[in-house]
Amino acid sequence: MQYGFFVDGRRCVKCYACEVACQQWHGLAAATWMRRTVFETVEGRFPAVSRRFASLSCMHCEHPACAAVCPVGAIAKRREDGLVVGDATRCIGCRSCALACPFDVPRYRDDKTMDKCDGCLSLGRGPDEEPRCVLSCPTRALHFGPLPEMEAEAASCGGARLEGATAPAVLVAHRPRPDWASQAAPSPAATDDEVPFDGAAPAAEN
Amino acid sequence: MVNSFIAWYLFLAGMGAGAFLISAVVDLSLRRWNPPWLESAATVTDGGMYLGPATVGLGLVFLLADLGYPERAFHVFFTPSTSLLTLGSWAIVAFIACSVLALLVSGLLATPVTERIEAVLQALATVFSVVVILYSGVYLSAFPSVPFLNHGLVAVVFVLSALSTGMAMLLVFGFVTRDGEDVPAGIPVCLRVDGVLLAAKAVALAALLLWAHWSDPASLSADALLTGRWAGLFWFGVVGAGIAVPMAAEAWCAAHPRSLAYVIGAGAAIGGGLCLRYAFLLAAVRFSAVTGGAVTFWG
Repeated sequence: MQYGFFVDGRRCVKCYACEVACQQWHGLAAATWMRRTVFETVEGRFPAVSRRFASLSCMHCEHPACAAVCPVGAIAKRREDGLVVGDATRCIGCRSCALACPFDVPRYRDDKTMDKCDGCLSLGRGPDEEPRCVLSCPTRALHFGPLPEMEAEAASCGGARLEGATAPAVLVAHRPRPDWASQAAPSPAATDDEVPFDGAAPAAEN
Repeated sequence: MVNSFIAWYLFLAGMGAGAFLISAVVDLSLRRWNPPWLESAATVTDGGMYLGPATVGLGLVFLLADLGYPERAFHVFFTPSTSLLTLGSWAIVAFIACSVLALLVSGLLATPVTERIEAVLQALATVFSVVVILYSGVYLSAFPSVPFLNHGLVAVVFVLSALSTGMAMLLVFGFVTRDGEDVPAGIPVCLRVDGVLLAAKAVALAALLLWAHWSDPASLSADALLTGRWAGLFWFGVVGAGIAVPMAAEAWCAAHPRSLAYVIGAGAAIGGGLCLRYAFLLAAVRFSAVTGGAVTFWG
């Protein structure tokens, strides 16, 4: 059974609770790297501004490109829940997984191994429990569970699965764009760390 | 993602395997027939038999130095995997092992048995040298997130560059080992072959850049090379040193057969080969499918 995330952007208020929970529970020092990031799209100009949020991490793809290129089997896809997990004790630090991932997920750590979301399995999360990012979301914008359940939840509110040849196991719903947003120029307020995220990732070819 | 270690590895592995392949093809051909021009060429290309594995071995040091945990690299050989990196690692080690063993066997007393063993080892090393050359070009072109490198012509350019820098190394070897002031007899033949390789590399490079220039988003990289941030490295290093100077030197030597100017061209071709690897890696842009924006590739 493939598990996945449903990110309900209609409920997300960009509070970063998911990012902070992930950082703290996994002992990731501040200003180093993050396993989960809240992306933002800003459209229009004041006072007609539209902002959309999506909290994203590893896509736990059905056909993970990272695992396919790892020469030492340090990244594997679990049969029981489809999560893609890394083994730092086997990683040789060749960075092939980072090059192969179309979503720029794996991060090169200070200890020269790659790091990525493991669905909190390393924290002893049980099969019926949710990852820390999901548990800490105060607006219930993040959901985790069997992919069919996530697909049903997303479909009920107009969400869709992210596109890509690797079949990412993540679905996103956004609050609808206002009519004027499609004609408005992008806001100059958008910054590098608030990169545009348009709900559905461009199709990756690998 | 990539850095100077990778650039030097690609350069050294390509040049070493290229030099060995040229040397082995000449040597294996001489076992079948021996026209005078091939025999004279062998006096220059024979150096590839030991320069090749030594240079690839040096490249392997750079490849290991790039790893976060080089001491775990042996896991690659004990993990069932069909990854390109696994294939390349096996090819490099097998190439070095077979080529060095062939050299050792050739140093033994010449008997029909040792000659047969040497021929088999050399043939195996030749096959593996082809894989090493292909691997150094194909690996980087395997990632769709780096559009400029994700094209078959990149592999073609790298293969031709591997052969031309390999030939350049053999020409330098011919210069260093020449007898007195005379131009070794095999040099003119090698220069003619090198001229063909350089012309083919120029055509492949032009075709790649033409494609990239008209292809969004690979055009970012092509423009950075042609007119942008890396234009100096590209025009002076890749085109000037890597193609124009060697071709000019070869034309000069064709008109002046006793000239030693070929070594200047060979030295420039080697420098140009290194510039090519740096230029491609520095100009390449990696994209994230989440944001559609550029993310770190060099560094």
